[in-house]
Amino acid sequence: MRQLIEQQILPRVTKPIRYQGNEFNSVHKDWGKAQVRMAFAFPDLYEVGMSHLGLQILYGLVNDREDLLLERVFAPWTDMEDLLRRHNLPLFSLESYRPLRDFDILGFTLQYEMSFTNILNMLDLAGIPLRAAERSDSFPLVVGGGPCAYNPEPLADFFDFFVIGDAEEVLLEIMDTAKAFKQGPSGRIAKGDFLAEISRVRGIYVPKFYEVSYNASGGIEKIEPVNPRVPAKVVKRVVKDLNTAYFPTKPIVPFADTVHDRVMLEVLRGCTRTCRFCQAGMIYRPVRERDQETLLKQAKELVRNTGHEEISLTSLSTADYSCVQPLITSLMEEFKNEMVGISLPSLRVDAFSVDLAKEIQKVRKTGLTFAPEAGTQRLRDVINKGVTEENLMEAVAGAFAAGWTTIKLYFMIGLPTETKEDVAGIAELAYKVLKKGKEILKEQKSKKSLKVTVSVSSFVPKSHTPFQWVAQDPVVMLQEKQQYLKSLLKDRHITYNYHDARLSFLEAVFAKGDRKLGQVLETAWAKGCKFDSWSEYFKYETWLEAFRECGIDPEFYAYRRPGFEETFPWEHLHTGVSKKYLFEEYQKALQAELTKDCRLDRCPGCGVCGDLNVKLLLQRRGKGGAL
Amino acid sequence: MGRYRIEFGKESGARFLSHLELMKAFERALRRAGLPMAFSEGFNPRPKMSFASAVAVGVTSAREYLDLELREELEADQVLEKLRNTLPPGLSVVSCRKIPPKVPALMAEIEAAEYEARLKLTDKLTKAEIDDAIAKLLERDSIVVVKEGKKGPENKELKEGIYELRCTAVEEGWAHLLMRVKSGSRGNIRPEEVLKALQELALLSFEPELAVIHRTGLFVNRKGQLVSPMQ
Repeated sequence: MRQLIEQQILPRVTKPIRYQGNEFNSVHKDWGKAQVRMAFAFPDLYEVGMSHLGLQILYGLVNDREDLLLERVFAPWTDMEDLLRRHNLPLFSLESYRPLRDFDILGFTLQYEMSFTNILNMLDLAGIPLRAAERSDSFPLVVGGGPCAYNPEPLADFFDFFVIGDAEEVLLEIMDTAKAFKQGPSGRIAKGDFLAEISRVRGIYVPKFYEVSYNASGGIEKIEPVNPRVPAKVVKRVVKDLNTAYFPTKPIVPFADTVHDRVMLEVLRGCTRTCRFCQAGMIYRPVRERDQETLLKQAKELVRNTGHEEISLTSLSTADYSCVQPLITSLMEEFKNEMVGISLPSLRVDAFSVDLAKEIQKVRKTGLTFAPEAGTQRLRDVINKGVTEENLMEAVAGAFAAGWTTIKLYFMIGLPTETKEDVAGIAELAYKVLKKGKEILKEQKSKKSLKVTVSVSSFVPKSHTPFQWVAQDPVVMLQEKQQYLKSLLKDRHITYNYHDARLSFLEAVFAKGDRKLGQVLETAWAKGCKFDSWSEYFKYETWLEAFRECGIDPEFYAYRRPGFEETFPWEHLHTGVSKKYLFEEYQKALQAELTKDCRLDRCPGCGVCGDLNVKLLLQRRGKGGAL
Repeated sequence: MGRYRIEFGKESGARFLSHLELMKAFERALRRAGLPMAFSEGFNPRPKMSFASAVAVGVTSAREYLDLELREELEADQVLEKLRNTLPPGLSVVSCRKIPPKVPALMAEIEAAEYEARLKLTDKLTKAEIDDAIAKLLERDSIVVVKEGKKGPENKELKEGIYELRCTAVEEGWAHLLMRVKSGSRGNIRPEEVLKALQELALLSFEPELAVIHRTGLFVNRKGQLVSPMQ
């Protein structure tokens, strides 16, 4: 099959390098010697998938074990798909060019809702029946993990099971269990027995063992396990200490230019800032920091093993890392001769972050992005952003003074309680930033041109957040707000970007969706929906047709304001954060009342530490950190 | 400071690397090898590394060249040895030699390139018939093909740039060709353009998408002789 693809297919597609699979540090194992074989599937393009740290972690973790094998597969671009279909070739893994059907386990990472149709498309391309109930033991087990696994209900029909939470430990448990249930001359896994066994493991959710009943108004009556042996609530997995957790120091080095083409050094996991819209901030709790020595050692190995010219210090909020300043200083010192740059993917809006940016731009200068999220102080308090206009002005002043001339600002529209004033506030803030820049450039007698980019996305209410009770703004309202902002941002130094509100609407539907949406997904896919988050393939009308055909109203999911008592489709999946706490945060939001970071202030009682028997793991030794 | 010229091959999977990807692959291999690269100044420091010529995506090559500067002076063998262990599959170093600081840039020196091409014929043709078609093409006063230029389609004259073109064999429906063409900054003929002329002007019928092209050499002009840049 490899020969056929390399000679007849690859020369005809754009970027054949996407399908090569022989990158430096890729692992090519003896198929026959591996006892459990898994394919890690990323339901988007190679360039997107290879920028995902989770893939590298699990790839290294599994392939370090002699008896196990993990290979990769990405969504093929449409030209590749057409050729595969025309030649009747099944979707294959990159390393061994084996059909996906031949694997024991097929694992999809669920990074965003609008990649769900790509999952169905990949299964179909692989010749694997879409619905779990239609797959006999001769097909692979299909598992999903990642952030969207916290509400996987729209996918429940298509998956055998889901992993809720960190996968570093549980994936090996899954593969060991699979090994034990491989049987007979065919060597396939006895799925029924396997699922019965694995459903009792913490962090594993087997949807067919849970029955959902609906009430008259279309909401959920209850979700119950079908037998007493499975837990009523599936509790997420947490790796307690990142210092002892597996971390790959020989990641695959892609040839192709990927979205994040650099070493990813994960400095911490979790975030306790409590932005009320942010799902990641809730599901990745508690904060667990890696110690500096571990990070320095990993950074050295990573650069030696990859040759990358840049190290990205990744996390939800790297400026919050207790030892961020000493860490950056040590890394800069370590790599100054090799011209390895350091980058911070997400900056907090304050002067401290700008100081960090100044420090790292000695090697390579990158753009600066800040996320005030909302245009007025009142609305920033509603979302608990914990950022003031003063913070922002201080930060941008520092940035302009240090020589940056392009600044990007991220905002959201459609946040709860938003008024016209709040929307106008986005434009006002942009103009203030521009004015500040002009003043500073004038002082410096600089002739450089300024550019402020205002990037505005539409708020999507997500499960497991205080805003899960919020109704999304209707598409037309979001579009009006987008146009209103456009009319206000008429300066040639300001660039204004915004996303398709219709895509955000569908995202909300699936983010808060239930099992009934499975048929909509299947219908939309059958009508040709795929690569929905790629604007050239997004077919909104087709999606609406699919909803109509299935007799399902998408507005029910996105526009309704549920009550506190309402049972959510994800009620049986537990992040450790209590529903009561989320609702309290929602109430506080409506009053524009702030909640402080629990690292700085008292514990607001989210419940994670007690419920999951974990604790914040902070490196207090560093000086100059944000704390 | 040391300056080195390296001969390398780009085969199998690596044939799908674009020129930019190739440069990046080398930079990373050099860093993995722990070689003390010299860097350019400025906001975005790049390793001081220059390639002889870009080879098209999909084309394999037995002999490519790059010049490299290091912050320290090492033996050429040491550079070769270190790189050998860190190059990704499909890229391989053949030889390395030290070059004096004043040697002109590789790119400016390249004069010609040699290719082998394998064509999947759509008609049953003998070697004699192909020889005949080639002879007719080369006899023309002008060999013009249309190529995609920056401002739309442009006519390109190939006549003076084709130094040699012949059929070496026909096997199982595949024609094997050898061509030597002008290459470098003073005029560049791409093998695909010669194949296009064969198809359009000599009416040789084959599947252009499945053409397998392999670069066998790049040459510089030394006193009227085309020789390897390593000489």
